[in-house]
Amino acid sequence: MEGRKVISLAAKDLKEVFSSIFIFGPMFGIPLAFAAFLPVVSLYIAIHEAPSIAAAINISGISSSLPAFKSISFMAYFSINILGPIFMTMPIVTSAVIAADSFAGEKERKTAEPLLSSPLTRGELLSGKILASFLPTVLMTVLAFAIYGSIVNFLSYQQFHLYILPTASWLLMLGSVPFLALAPISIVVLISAHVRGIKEAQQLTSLLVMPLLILPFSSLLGLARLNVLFLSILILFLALVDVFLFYLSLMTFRKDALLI
Amino acid sequence: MEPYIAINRASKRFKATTAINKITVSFYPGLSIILGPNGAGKSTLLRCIMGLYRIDSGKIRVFGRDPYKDDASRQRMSLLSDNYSLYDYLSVSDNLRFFGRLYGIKDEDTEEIARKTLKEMDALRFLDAKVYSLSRGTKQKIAFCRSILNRPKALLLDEPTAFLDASSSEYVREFMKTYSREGNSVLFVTQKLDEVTRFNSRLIILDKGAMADDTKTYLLYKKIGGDATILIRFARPMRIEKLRKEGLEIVGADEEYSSSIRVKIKDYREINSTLRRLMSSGADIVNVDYLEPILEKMSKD
Repeated sequence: MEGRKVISLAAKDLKEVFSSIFIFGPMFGIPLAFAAFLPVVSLYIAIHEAPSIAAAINISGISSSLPAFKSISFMAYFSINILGPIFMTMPIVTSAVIAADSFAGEKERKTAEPLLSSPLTRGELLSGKILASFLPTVLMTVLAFAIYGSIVNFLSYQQFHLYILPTASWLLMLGSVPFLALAPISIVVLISAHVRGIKEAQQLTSLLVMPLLILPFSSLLGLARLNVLFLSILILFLALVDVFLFYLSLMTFRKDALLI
Repeated sequence: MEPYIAINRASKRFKATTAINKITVSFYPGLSIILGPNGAGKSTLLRCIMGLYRIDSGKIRVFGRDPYKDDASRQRMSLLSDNYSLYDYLSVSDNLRFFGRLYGIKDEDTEEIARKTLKEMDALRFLDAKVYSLSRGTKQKIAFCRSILNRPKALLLDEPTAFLDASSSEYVREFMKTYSREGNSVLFVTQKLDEVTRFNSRLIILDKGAMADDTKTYLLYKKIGGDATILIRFARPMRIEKLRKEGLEIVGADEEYSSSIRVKIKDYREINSTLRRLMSSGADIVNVDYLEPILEKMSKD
């Protein structure tokens, strides 16, 4: 495998993605805007609504807090258990969008033929495409976590004179990002032979977000605790799923899937 | 001499459709034209040669290698497909540099080839333009340029002149002739008789996915045989009634005067006598051509 060809292909795909602000703007702008906006909302709720929410929903750690600490507890809880899972959906959505464009897009735009007519091997083709989807996704999500973490800390220090982040759970959520990003890419590779275009590929991979969205709700309802043990098991599970899906996609991918 | 491309009873099906059916043919250095109507399997054959499709049965070898399994075999091959297949949001130079890199060509060398070729085709000024802003013809020029970047020993061209202006089309034709004389195998796919008759080369006729004939371009008119229609264009409109009186079997032509007529002939040798009669009637002839769908008719014969 020639690394230069892999990098050329990944660079080409990235150049296409970043060629127009109308393509990459919404893809990266909206998550990053949320990274700045949601912590502010969480602070507002923590100050004004925490006691009433804590009274309505029995969340351990908040309901049992002394009234003076309810807001701090809520801010910490919200920042990790609610915002964390929301930001964990970002790598899934972003990698699904880029991978769908990268694989199904070649098919839809009929640009695959000269690519496949080149001496590029199957491994180089897959590696280049996966790299192009994986790298910007991980970078963007890490940036989103950094922005949201910094803003949470800034606000909490201003209000409560203490830093809420990072915690072990929060760091594990950040650590799960590469594993979350890889699964949709493998799925796009798997389904690339069966979809006609980008939209179909995106729709199918976006379904992956659904299980992750259960996390904040189950946390709110007290059904799951996003603690170190839970997140460690989640990462291990994701790693196993990733290995399985990646192996399956490598084994089943046929280059002519991008043509027919 | 070993053939550059050897195809032995190759078949490719798409569900119920047989795209190519037990084709056996070999290609050596030189120009080979592959002619056939729509759906004859011309493009599929090229894609199978490139290793883009896995054939269902038979064998294809390019430089002794299986192009579907051996990716390195494509280092010495190139395909210009019937759609330009360029990346719209990249510039022309980015497109060409990218493909050059896939063949291990230095960016400077890619640029040198691109500048030379695009200058010949009057498209050099588009080097920094985004592909989406270009016309269909210009895109085809860029795609042609891309196909020759790696100086392929086997160059496969699918309708390379379809959208080109006259001078660029002529450049491509001359390129094919010269390049094929330099020890390279050029496969030129077309469905236009007009294109075929400009060359003196090998001619392979495909029909319904099978080899209908392996002949020479100069034998094409014999193959066309009897009962064809030719289109004759005049420099100025001619009175149809007057031409009918010359004994020509004119098809259609309801109007009194016309700048072109369609005449039925029984043999290609009748063209000369037809033209003589027209000239004696005072017609200034500017163009004569066989009318499609002569190709479909020919393959049925």
